[in-house]
Amino acid sequence: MASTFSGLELSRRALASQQVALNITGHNIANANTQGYTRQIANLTATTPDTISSAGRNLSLGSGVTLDTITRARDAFVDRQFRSETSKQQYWASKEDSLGKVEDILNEPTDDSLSNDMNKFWTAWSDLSKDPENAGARSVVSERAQVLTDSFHNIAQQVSDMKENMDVSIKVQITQINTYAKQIKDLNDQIKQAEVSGDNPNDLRDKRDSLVDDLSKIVSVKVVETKDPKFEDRDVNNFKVIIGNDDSDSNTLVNDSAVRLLEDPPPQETINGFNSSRVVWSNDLADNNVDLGTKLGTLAADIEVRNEDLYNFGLQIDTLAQGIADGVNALHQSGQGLTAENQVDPVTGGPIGINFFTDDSTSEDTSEDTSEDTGEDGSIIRSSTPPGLPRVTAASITLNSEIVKDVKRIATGAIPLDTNDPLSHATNADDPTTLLVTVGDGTVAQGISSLSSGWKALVSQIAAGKFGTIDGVVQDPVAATSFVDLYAANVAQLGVDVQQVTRMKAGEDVLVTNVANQRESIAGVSLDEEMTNLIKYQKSYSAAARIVTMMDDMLSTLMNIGITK
Amino acid sequence: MRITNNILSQNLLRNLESAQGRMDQLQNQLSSGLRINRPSDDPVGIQNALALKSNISNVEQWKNNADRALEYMNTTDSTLGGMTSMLQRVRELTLEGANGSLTVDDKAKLALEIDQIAAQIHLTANTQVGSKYIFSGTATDQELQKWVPSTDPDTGEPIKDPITGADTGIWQTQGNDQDVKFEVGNNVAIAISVNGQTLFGADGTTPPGIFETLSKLSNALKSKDADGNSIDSEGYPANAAGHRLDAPLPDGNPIDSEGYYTVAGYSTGADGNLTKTDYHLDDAPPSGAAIDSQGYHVDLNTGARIDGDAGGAVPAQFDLSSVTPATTPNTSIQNALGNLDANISNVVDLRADLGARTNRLTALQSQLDSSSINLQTNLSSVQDADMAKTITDFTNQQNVYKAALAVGAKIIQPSLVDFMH
Repeated sequence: MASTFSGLELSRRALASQQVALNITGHNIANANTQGYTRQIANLTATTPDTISSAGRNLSLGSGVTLDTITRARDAFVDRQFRSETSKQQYWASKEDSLGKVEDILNEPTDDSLSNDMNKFWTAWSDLSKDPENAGARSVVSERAQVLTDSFHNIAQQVSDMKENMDVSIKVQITQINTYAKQIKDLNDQIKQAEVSGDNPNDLRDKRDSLVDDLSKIVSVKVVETKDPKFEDRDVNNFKVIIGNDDSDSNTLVNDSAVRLLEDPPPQETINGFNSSRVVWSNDLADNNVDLGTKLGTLAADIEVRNEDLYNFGLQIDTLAQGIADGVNALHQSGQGLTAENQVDPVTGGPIGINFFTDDSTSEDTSEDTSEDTGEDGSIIRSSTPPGLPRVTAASITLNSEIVKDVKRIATGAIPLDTNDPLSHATNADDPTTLLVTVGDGTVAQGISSLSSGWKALVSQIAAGKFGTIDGVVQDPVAATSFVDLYAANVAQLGVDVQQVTRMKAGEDVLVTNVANQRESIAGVSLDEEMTNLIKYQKSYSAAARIVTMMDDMLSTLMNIGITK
Repeated sequence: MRITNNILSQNLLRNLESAQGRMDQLQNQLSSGLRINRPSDDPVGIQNALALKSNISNVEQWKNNADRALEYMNTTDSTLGGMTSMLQRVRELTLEGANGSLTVDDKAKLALEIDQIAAQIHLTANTQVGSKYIFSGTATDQELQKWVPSTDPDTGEPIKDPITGADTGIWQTQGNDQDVKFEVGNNVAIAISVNGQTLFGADGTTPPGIFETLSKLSNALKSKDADGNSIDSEGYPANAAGHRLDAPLPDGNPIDSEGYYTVAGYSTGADGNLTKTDYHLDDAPPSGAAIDSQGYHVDLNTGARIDGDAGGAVPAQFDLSSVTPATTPNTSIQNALGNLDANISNVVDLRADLGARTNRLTALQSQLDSSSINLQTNLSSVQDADMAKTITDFTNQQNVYKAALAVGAKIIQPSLVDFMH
């Protein structure tokens, strides 16, 4: 037989349960726009029924409702998908951003670009070839050359600035990963405590999932959640986060309450002039690079751009600078301007002129340079320089200071040789003590200006090994048809790269959007739904209150039995 | 699928963003007029565009060079034209001078005009375009004809002409025989100069150079030889004192300051030995002597040379019988005419050659013009935006964007909240 007041008790439970449900709905509505929030569901369940006897049988009499659990509407599979697509998308987004900046460095196809400066440089030589005796035309060549070298310096500077920015960005991301790791570990502890006490800490889990989502932007993430074997009767979980290549257990970032940090700041190493930034575990004695997986996360993208794309780009520009310097120098050496040049060519023993471009460290250097360059910024490596030609990079190519001082020394015509002794400089007929200068000879200037369209002027220099033999550099200028061709191929290659990353990113955007929508569809708060719930629970609450009133009436009737008026 | 408010708003936002992104791209193309604004817009296109720009820059430069070259060649051509007419004038004067009826004075007047023309041609040889001497080969800083004044080697004072009192000197040819070349195509360099050394010729060649021809002609008309000595109508040179000067002189004997031929002679000194002495060939031989064919006094009896003459100097009458007269002025004029014709035809030939090169250059210039236009067209088709298409696309995109905004305003607003009271 049920107790007299069981009805009231039932109503109280109903009121309480509906009220909690209303609160949860309110919580959902309040967090409708909260990042990472998962809508919560009040799982109401019928309470254990009372057993009553009736007509000699036992009957289960419903005893009302109670709040069983509050759960999150979350699908772990969709989460995993979301994170994996986010890693991919962020990789391409970051690459698109970086390579776009490299594109900006070149500033093609505008008027303020290297190609334009190159064209103007060759044009100035052609103008000079018409008026070799004209100091104005000489100054123009000198100016154009300085504009060209400034452009090279500017590009080299921007590449090196960008490399530094990448270093900062990589360091920030490493710090971020370590911070996330510590935060996840703290949340693991809190969640475990709550779980041990039987609680279901939904909002803490939301926070943790949100952190993992953020982490997945930087680096690819795998989450392994297993039941803690120590607690068989309760739902207590171990939470493990693996970053990078998730096949390798050694890449575990957080395991329950254990944290492994990455070395911060990230170390750098230089091998053979190739400088790279590395990601290593701080406690890894073997000092191996962390396997960040293939094309996943912004960190991998930044490392790749810094170590490979920028290096290759710099190399291409260096090759161009070296090629232009070699081509111009090889021809320039064979000539003289308005003053006689009579240095001794170490190879032939005949007279030789000065170089047009030099390395900024030496003003005039016609000696053979065979040293090996292992520039710490990954600059050009040349084991041997063609005799008499300086080794330059985009950062160091400079107009010979002798020429800046005296534009008369810009070579325009060939060095006239003595008809009787081809190894010595011809002299003036009327005064054999002075060297002959033929001021109207523009053949050398013509040769240099013709470099704009090919190597014909350099045939003998190529045969003599003075041009085209650049060791340790990926490209040989002679492989292209002209400098413009060489440069345009590099620009086009960069364009193709950017186009590819842009397309990949656009594709990944769609995938991430789909998965995000899917996740939102499961976990997101629908105001319509919450409003409906609101009405539903409110009406239930009113109805339960109604039952209390009815019970009250019923009990009043009961109390009035036997009272005579 | 369960749709939440966030899905609606985020989808709307994303679609608005992508519509805006496309509008931004089209807007970029519209405002720059270029289809390619960065390499990734069209990598192949930009490669072509860069190559085309370089081509255009080259072609424009070659056009520029060709213009300058034509300027230079036209100046050279008109200079050659001027020279031809001057030489024609000289030829007319020569023909006039060859006319036997002219007096010596008339001829000398003709010679004066020829001297003026010669001076003018000396100036022509030093014609400049800008600061370049166009006939000096690649030694463009040097005059082709340089006047070198004679100076006394001891005092350094300029030597004056004893008669006119003017400074004396010689014309010296400078420069070299290298062609001045302009680059007017890919490794195409056209010689734009006419070589002055070929044009004006050198002295002592056959035919002689223009300057030698003119000076010979002038001398012939003035009836003078190269040393300024007068030549009589029979071709015998005479000195200022009116003595005939024979060429060649016997045994190369020099003329002394008084215009006497002297021979190396011997005299018997007090010691009875013969002493080498120079003495005049005397007007009359000493008694008992005669003059032999070489102008020596010989003993009539023995036929031996009389090597000394203590009798003092009496001007001798030289035996001219065996001396060939020099070229008469009239013959010299005739010779000069032949040389002059050779010189004129040389100038005309060089002018024709220059004309041929000018024609080639003009043809090249029009070729360059048309390739410049072609290249510009190609570049435009590679990099320029198709405005009609871009504007249409842009308008379309704008409509899409507006529609998305309008719909968004309707979707986002209402939820159940709006209908509950």
